[in-house]
Amino acid sequence: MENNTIVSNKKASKLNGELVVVAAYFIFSGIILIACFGYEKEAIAVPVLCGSIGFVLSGMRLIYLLFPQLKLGEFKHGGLAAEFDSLKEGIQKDLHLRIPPEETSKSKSSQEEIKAFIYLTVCFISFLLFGYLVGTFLVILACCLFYNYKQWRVILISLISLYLIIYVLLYKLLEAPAFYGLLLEPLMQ
Amino acid sequence: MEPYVAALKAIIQWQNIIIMLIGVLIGVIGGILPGIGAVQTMALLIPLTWKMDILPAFILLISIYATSKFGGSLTAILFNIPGDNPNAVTLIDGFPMAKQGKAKTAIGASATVSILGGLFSSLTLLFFMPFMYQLILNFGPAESFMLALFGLSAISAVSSKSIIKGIMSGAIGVTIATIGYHPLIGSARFTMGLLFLRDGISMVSVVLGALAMAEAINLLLEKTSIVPEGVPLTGSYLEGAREVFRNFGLFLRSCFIALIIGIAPGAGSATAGFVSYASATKTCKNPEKFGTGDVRGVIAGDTALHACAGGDLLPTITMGIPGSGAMAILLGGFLLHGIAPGPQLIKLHLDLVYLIIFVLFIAHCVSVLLSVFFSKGLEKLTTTRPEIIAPIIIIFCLIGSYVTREYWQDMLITTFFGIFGYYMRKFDYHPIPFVLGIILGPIAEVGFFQAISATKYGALIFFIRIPSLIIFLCTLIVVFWPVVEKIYKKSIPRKRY
Repeated sequence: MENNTIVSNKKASKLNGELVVVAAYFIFSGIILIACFGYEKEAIAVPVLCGSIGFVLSGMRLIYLLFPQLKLGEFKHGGLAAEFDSLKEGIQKDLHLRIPPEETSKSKSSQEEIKAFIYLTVCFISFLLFGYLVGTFLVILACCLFYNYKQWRVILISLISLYLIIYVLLYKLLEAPAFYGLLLEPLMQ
Repeated sequence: MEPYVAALKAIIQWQNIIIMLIGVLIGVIGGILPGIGAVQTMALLIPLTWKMDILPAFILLISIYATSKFGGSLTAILFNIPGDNPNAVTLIDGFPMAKQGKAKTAIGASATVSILGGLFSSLTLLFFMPFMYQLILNFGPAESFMLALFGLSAISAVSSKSIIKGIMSGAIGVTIATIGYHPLIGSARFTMGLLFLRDGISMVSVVLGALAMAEAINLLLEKTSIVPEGVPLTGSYLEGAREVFRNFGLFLRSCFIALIIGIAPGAGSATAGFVSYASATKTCKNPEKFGTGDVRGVIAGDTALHACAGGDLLPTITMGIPGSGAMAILLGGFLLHGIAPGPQLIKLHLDLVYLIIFVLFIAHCVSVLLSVFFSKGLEKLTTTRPEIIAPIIIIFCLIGSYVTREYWQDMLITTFFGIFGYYMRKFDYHPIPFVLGIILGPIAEVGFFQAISATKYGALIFFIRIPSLIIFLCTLIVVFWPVVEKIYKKSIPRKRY
């Protein structure tokens, strides 16, 4: 009984999380469809088609997420790959195989997710302000700070390897375009 | 010069040999590192091929594709953890063998079938290519559009949990691909007055974000790394190789199973490995030994993993229909170098096709030699922490998205699609159809426009032409598979009574 409640709670929180993504998709498709009116007929055939598909399907899913009892946008039918997956599972069962799960099912708290997204934003800002030659070092150091990783020997080896790959190989040998970032660029000039 | 001679000449140039060695090394490392597979490694390397010539660029990409599975087999045998999902089949018998002191024998068998499987894949491509060439000579713009549509629907089928969610992912991908100039008319669409959007949203930025950066986020959240259990590297590589030749019938059977499954859309090497393994347990003597450290289990599973490549590459090269995530990335690589996959590729770049075939085999051989010689060193990679792997992936994603077009906004797009891709996975929306939508969207749009404007029949042209109609029917079968399956399953009991 308790287990069932936990499972249904998990499902409900997953559906709630999906709601934001699907709502964004629904709005995006709607905007694309409305924006199509401003362009010539030949240019909008494909966006109208795909926008309509997206609008209708995300709308159906949205209804399901808001009213799960309606079952309208449940979309539970698997594709061809589901056939192959069930074939694979059948084989594993027949052979009594114990294989570690393909994806670890550790629950990720929203706090951890937000921390990862903030880290990602820090990475982007580092690259934007200091370019990729300096930003690379900041990204590694930021990760050590964010995730409390203090194996300094490994960090040093990674930094030296990255310096060789990015500065020597990519920038000098492969002549990748220089980018010192919005902050360093004026100073470099 | 004959195309195959040109391909061979390109391969033996010293610069290309070095590129191949680098590709093989990266592929094996990508296979070994936890959380990274062929798809992510290829996605990360795509921007680096941007300024390369076409042939070296594809030497690099194919080398990575061909070799990552062997890297994954090594971790499966030595640490009971598959480097990538398809390698799950290797550990069933590979790890028990290692525990019995036959780790080298298992690696030897895996290495031999890797080389022979690579050879089978190359021969498959060489054999079927002329037939496919004759077939696609009849294809026009209508078929190009239908093929793109079929490619999208076929890859949507990889969304095993829900095909509709796969279609939704594909549709949003195509919609995003329409941002920017129309490929034929030239009018700018949905740019919101932003200059960098006039060139469209960079395919590289989206691929890097949705596939590689999303995986980096996942790594940071999962924080998993392989912890070696200390299985000693004992046994004999040669004994493993000998076992393959003793069970050559099993090897051939596994090859043909892999070929058929490889061509089928939505079924990857993971399925091929398991079906081949199951077939081995039913057709070989003493089936009870499977799962307890029988070398035949390693042979059956690993052969299918490597022999699958031919069936995987065939529809991608000849028709532009990718059967797996790695093939979708390869398709992106073709487009990045201005090559339309499918008929145009075979008609105009036959040397490239031969190069892919040859490199597929050579890379398998090189990877085996490299992995066997450096297995001690490669072992250490498995302990690499995600706190080091994830930022390196993020760095390469950001650099890759910047260097292709030199817009800083592309880095923002990559970051955005990284988060977007993470949520897609979390809520069971497969990111591969989305990426394929971005890749195939422009091809579909050009095909649609050319087919309509060159005929008086309008949209009917897609159903009047026989090849186009056949492809359309195939698309319907794939999309409405749940319905087709129901009808098929209902028809079976009727026949019995």
